Amino acid sequence: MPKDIKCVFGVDIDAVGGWLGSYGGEDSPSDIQRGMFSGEVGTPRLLRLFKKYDVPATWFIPGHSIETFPNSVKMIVDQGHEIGAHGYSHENPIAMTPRQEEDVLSYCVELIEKVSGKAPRGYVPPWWEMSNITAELLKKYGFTYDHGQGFHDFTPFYARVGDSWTKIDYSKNASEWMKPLVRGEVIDLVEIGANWYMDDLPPMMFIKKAPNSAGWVNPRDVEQWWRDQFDWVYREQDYGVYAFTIHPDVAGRPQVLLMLERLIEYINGHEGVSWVTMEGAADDFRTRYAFPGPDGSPFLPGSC
Amino acid sequence: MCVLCYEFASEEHWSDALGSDAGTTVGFPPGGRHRRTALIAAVLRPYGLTVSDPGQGRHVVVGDLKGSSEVAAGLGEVWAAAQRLSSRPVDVLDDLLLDSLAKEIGQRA
Repeated sequence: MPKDIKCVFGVDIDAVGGWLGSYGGEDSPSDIQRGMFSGEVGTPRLLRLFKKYDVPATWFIPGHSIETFPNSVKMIVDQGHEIGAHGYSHENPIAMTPRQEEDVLSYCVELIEKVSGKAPRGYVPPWWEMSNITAELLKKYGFTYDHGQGFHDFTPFYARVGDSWTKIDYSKNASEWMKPLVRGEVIDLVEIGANWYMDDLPPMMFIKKAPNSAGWVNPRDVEQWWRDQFDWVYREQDYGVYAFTIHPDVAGRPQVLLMLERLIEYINGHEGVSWVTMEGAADDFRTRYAFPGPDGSPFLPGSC
Repeated sequence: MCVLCYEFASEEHWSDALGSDAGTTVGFPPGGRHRRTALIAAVLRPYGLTVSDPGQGRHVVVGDLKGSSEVAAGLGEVWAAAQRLSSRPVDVLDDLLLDSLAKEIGQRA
């Protein structure tokens, strides 16, 4: 089987919305300014990087960023990249009421359609947390893939919802919590696995309100992690999707841009590698493995 | 300072010693510590705050739903951290809190 490793850049413009919804920056003018950097400076820099290497990308843009940075969003659209949804202010889906979650999603779908001329097909749940109703909403609003579940890393799969597990309760007998996880239902929604170890933000963004914040990890160390993961995938898998999750908040900084240049050049030195949008990778997966498929198929989560 | 984890410990809280006859490293029996964290969580919930216990040292982490969090170096500091993180004044006689606790107790009964 010829080697076919599809490489993807998923770019989340968390920006000001990220500081409002997830990084504790709502009271900090400095953090809000860092959010502006993401939309106004980091995003054009990344666009130039993608243009230089002729790499298509998928930009998951919170509604807040779409409305705050119309010029940058227009540049993304004009350059032909895909746009996906990513909340409005990077709200945590499991903290919202069902009504709030649907209101956010429907408004963001409308915004994306307005700026790009096409309804989004892909979604990244902020915080990479899906609520009990997220998958149902995604189906309702015409999404075909998601980049949020972590059941697998470099092999796409169909999403599974409704897993249940028993928490430990030390006030009870051990027999009451010694129960295995019960798997939920696999649904017709392609997952490009969410992978914290392919995400630039946790190691390289300083967050004042997080007691365990990182932010000064050497990008050359991150480069080595990402290279090691690529090398393993390339050696072990004939087919795979190697997806980066980056943010202009972080990846728009010179030290990370240079690292990405080195990585793209390294990856491009391999046979059988292509750069695609996340929608492209998800559609290709569907072509290979139609839903639902037989039990034990490699595209069911956790089965390979 | 804790000789095991080098954490600067705040003053001991009277509840730290409850049930500490079981062998422990930091004054709590594991079950007692877990129960106390669950109670703190119930108190903080109506303020949109969470508490998590890393399970080491005396500290817990108090957080809101928008990404801010603080390490509280003991029970005595939890209330102050909650006040800094909550947009609503944290008050033990707050109807919001009392109603929420009453509901929680009702659900457990």
